[in-house]
Amino acid sequence: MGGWRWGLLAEWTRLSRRWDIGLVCALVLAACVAMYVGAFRAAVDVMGVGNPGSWGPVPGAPPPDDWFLAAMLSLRGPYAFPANLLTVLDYAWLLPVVGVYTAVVTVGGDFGWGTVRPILIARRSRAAFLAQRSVAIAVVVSVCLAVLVAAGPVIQIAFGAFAGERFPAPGLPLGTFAAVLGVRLVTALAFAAVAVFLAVATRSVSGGFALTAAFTAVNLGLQSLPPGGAAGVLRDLTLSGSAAAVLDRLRPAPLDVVVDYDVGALVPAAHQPLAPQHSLPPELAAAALLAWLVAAVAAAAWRLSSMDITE
Amino acid sequence: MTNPILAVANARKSFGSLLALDGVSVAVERSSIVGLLGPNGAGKTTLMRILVDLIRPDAGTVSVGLSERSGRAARIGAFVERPAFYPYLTARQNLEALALTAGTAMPQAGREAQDALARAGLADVAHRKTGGFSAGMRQRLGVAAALIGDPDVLVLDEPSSGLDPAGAAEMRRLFGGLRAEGVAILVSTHLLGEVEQVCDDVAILNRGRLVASGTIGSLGRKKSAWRLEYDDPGRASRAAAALASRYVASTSGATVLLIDPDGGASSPLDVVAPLGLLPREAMRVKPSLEEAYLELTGTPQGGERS
Repeated sequence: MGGWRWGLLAEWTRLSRRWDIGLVCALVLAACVAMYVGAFRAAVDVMGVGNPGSWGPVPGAPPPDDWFLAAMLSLRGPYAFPANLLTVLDYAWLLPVVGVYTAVVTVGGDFGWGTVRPILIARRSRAAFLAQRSVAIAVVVSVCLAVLVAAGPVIQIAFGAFAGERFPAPGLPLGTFAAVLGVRLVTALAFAAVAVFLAVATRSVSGGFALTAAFTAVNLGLQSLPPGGAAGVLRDLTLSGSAAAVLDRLRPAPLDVVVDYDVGALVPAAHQPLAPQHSLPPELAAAALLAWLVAAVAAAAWRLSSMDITE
Repeated sequence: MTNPILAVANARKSFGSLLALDGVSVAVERSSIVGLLGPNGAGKTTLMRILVDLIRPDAGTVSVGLSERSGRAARIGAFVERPAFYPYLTARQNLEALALTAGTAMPQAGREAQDALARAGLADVAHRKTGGFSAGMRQRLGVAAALIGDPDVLVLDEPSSGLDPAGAAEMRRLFGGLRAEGVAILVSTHLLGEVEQVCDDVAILNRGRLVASGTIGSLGRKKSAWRLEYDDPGRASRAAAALASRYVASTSGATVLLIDPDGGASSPLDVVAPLGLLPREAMRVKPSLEEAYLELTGTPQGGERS
């Protein structure tokens, strides 16, 4: 284990001095947080009846009924601590970008600079080198995910939202939270593992990026396949599709609502988007997602172990 | 060779239709320096890559002896082809990361990096990023990187390439010091003078085959050579052309150098006399390493090859 520890420290030495990786992490996190803040502000503003600059009753109109306020306040729950720890994960779909970038520039970079040679001469075991590099990439992705989760409460505090307010705030369903966190992490790592394999296979940064972009495009293109039948199964077996098939069960998309004054309640909007339909049960979809990760790691290890290092 | 610390036997390697190595065997004895010679494309770098497991041979075996210091398999330090470093890291950070990769603990890894930099004459630039290093500095840093991990064997691919004469001399002193410490070195180079100064043995590759190996002296003794002096270059050229079927012949001005590949006792005068091309002076000489190398690899030496 000692060798592992020092090997990981070596990876830290190499990764921590790369400003570009830090920049990509910051940009991706900023984009995720910006999307979350947009939704958060909408939830806060819709409650901020009477607050300057907020959405609210037309000036001069009678104050809203109590039932209206209560119903609207219920929409704020997901953005209040601790439920916001889970809500913010809905915006983690950009996280694979961090994994892919880190994987391609580090692994492909080692081939481009030729640094793969001294590393493999020093380490001897190619599998051990790849495992160390993979763990380092996983740490980078995990840290970004942790920062994103922490952003929920931080944003709540930063905006001074919900202070002294009373509304039905849901708790944090720990099981769902852990499952969504796991799916988000595994999805990002699976994309990163595919990128590692493609960077090893092409022995370059540009080749790694090009093929990973092509893979992602095909992967996303298959998401437009109709649900049901063989096409639906194929869609749910893709990397993005398997993740979506699990997440849609764990986190059904909230329905758009409108206020029906006649019945005094929130009702579904007239034009609801169709609830996502999947052909694979969530257990099989989760297995497919894990299989992507394992298969990509195994393919990268096999390719690196079997190749001649001629750089 | 009785107890080599690093050896490759019958190595064969092809890249597509190109046969890069064809049954090559080389051994490196403890506390010795072996020079690996050969023209470009002879297979030297391929052989070195096989020795450090960067490429796998199609056939043949690599054996690594036990380290007398650790009692475990000997550690190999190497740089093959051009030295490679992370340009955004300093020289020390590069070597420290390499030491950590090899499993050396901190703070020992830092000390190893500093020591290696000092031995390679780079202590004063330890904290400079390697992206701005000159070719010579990168070459020195490559040797320093090979020293990481206290290796028992060094495999170095043209370590003196790009060094100025003082740097090359310093490198030779470093190799001598390492040999005295018990380190075995396999070094490829095109600098035959350097080989004669520091190497105990040489192995010469040509077109993927081992064409000669042994001590420098033994290589010279295996061949016979003649030097024919003429009064004018034209006669020298005609004589060289006439002798080309039996000797490896090259001309330099009015001098013809002949090497007999078979080491036979026949005289070239028997060939040129009937042609009226007797030289002003004919000398039988012992070939230098350079002459033996040129003959073995079929490479013309300056002048004109006949």
